[in-house]
Amino acid sequence: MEEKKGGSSAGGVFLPFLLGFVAALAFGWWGVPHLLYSKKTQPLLFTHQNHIELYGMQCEDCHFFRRDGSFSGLPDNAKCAECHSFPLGDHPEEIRFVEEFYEKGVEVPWLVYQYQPDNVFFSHAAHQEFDCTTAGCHPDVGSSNEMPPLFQNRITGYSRDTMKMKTCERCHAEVAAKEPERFFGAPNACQICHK
Amino acid sequence: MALNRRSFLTFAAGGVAGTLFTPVIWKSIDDTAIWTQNWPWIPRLEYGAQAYAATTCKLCPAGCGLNIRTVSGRPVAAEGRTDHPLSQGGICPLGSAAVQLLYLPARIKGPMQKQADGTHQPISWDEAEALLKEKLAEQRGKEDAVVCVSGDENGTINELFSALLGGLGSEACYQMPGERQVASRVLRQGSIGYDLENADFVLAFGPDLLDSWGTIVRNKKAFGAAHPIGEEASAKYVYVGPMQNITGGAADQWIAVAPGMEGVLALGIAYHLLQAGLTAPQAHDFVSYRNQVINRYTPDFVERLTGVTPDQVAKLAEMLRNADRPLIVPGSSIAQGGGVFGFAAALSLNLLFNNVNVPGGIQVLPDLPTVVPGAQDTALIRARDFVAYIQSVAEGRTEKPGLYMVYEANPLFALPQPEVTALAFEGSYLVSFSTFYDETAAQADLLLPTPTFMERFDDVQTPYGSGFASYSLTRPVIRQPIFDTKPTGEVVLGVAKALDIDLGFTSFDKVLEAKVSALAELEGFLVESVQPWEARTGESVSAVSGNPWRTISRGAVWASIAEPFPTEMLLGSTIISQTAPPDSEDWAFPVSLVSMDSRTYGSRHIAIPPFCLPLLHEQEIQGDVFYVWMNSATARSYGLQAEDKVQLTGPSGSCLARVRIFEGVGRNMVAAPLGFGHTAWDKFSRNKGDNIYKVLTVRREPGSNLAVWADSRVRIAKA
Repeated sequence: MEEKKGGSSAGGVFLPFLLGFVAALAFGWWGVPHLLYSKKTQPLLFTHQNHIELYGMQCEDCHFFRRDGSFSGLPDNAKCAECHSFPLGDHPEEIRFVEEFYEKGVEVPWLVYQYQPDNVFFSHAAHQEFDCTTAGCHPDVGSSNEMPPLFQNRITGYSRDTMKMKTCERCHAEVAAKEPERFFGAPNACQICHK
Repeated sequence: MALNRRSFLTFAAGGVAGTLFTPVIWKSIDDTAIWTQNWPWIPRLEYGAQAYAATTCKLCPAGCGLNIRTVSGRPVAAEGRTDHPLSQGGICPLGSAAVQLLYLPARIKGPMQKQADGTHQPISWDEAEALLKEKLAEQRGKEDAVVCVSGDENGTINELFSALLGGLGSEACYQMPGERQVASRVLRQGSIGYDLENADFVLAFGPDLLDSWGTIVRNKKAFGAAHPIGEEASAKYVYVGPMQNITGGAADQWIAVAPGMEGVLALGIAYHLLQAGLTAPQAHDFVSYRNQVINRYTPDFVERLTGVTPDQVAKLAEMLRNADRPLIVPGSSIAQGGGVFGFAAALSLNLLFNNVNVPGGIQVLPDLPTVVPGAQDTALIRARDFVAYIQSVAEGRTEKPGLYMVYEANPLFALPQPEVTALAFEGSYLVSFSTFYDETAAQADLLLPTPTFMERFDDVQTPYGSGFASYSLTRPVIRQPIFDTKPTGEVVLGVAKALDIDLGFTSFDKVLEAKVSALAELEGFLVESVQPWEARTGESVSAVSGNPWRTISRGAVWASIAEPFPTEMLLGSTIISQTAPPDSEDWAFPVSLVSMDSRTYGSRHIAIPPFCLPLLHEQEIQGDVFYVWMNSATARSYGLQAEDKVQLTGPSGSCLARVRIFEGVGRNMVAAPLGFGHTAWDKFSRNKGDNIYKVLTVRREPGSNLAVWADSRVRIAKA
């Protein structure tokens, strides 16, 4: 009896433990992210590729700094309407922009992948010298033909790509350490970002 | 492997261990923390392009310039405008609340009609305008059956109202009472201006220059410029008034005189000036003026009435004589309800210094040309006494009109003895054009809300107190009005058209354009680098060129310093002899009531906005009880201490307050703020303190027969 009990306990303990362990890993790394994030698509089809490659536009044509130094971010209807105040072609999405948004005076509710909450003060102007496409803050959509879906956290409402504080801090610490005199103003003090 | 208790527990243990190698725990803690910081009711910032829109404030008559800061076209803040001569970058507490007023819960969301049960129900604009037309048509042809009262003393809209009334056979167009009305008893045409900037000695007989009188922000700027920090003051300010209000506190000298008695002191000073040989040969009533003053306003008499010693009076006279450009400003400490006696007496001192139409003196300013055909003369309207009219209707001496139209005014709250106004309004059809659900709107039969000044075109003509004539415009700084409102100018034009009354214009914008064109009749200039008071001392300005409508509608200010017409100035000996100071003894109501006005408490037609509530300190209001101020000697003589509850009782009403001991209130006086005690509006402005207008009592000034109430009296008792 005792031997049987001992023999069964050796295999009987390890296997359920391993199963539980693996199940938890699968749940934690695969299941939870699928449950936690809802997948959203942009309200309109937009192709950066066409605007850049076919029409020779620059990023700054739409994503520019205003005269007061603030960053315009996503273009508003007025900006788009500089060209698309009426349909230039017959693409249904372009017609939809003109009819459903521009003519009705409704701004397109574009989804922002890097939405930062109001308690974070972030100035694009101060980060101008870093390349948008390689610095790692944004997904590089500049050459994309289709906007990627946005994964929204069901608990917080934030985008999955919203940069966490530790990522900001790491860059501030590393860059500031490399050239302390030049980046004197970029330490990790609270008030640098939380005004 | 059998599924038993042991294998289940080891499976669970494996699960727990595995979880520790996933981010689930840390992520869920982090997300939960973020979730707790983002409740749905926390407002979110909306980002966008910032811009400024220059406009003019219409929240009180002072006519300051405002810069409305917008983000993505949405107004977010009101700031001062350095290029506006009436505010020079400054802003008052009410002006800085302008943007908040756009979204105030007390705003009327659209036209409404009063139902049988007393509630207001929304109706469409078509229905509302048809109803207004029908009600006006019922009164058509009956003499003075339609009455209009406007709280906008500077707007061209008054011309539309008076022309509409004219078409209906009524002349009963009134303005809410103010200093202008008293001034119009002294100067029939044009208005009186005060060149504070160029004066080197300012003696104010009553007016609270720095908080509630005339061009408040401009007055403050002039005072500030004359009192540079760390340097000798370049102009001395002396305040003669009942208490150390903002003006009394900031002035170089404060002389406590009970309300209504300022004129006696002024004539006491005139006594010394005349004794010293000053004359006013240009005024043909000089001899009778001199005789009256010398015979009656002797130092002893003045001391008996005002409590100011003969030495003090003589010293004041000497200070005036030593000044190069003295300016004497008459008025009431609440910029309303003062008598002609005090006004004329103080004003007459300027004439003894030959101080008319010269730099640093009083100025005769033109009324801007009227443009609406059939409109009554501006001077005629502002001389009318609405309070006297209301009293007469309430007492049955004048026939009750069929319909009242109330514009930018709140007569059921902000007229002395509001219960008398209620009596006069009872039974008549009441139409309110108010933007906000004020006490008058709450009683109105028809609500036709006008948008705020940030959502409409409107204008400001020379505000009272300014040293120069001026004109500026307000304009919509927001793309769409926030609620279903309609500018009253358009409503009046629409209803006139429906009644076949030709007002000569199709839209209110066109009226304003005509007004701007009519400015060419006067000699004026657009204020750029040279300010009007600098032009008065000889700096050259260029005449208006280009398209004035375009420039003025974008914020530019038109100004004029030209003398409009030769004015024969009198010392006012007739007025002074006929009118009289109030009785200084009253055993039933022994205490002088000193009302206090301040833009912190809102204005005559705007209740204290939530934006200003934090400015009220703990000795102004606690809970729903407000404070009245008195000095310790007065408190002692009535057995009162700080924080005691006290009842103020006037001949017609009473109110409850707490005692604040403040030595800057004259002896045997009690000071109480106006603008508290609202009962309509919204939860932010309502039920705060009590309405002092209930305690103010109207009396008729002998001689002028003007309704006055600034010198009301009360009795006080511990409650």
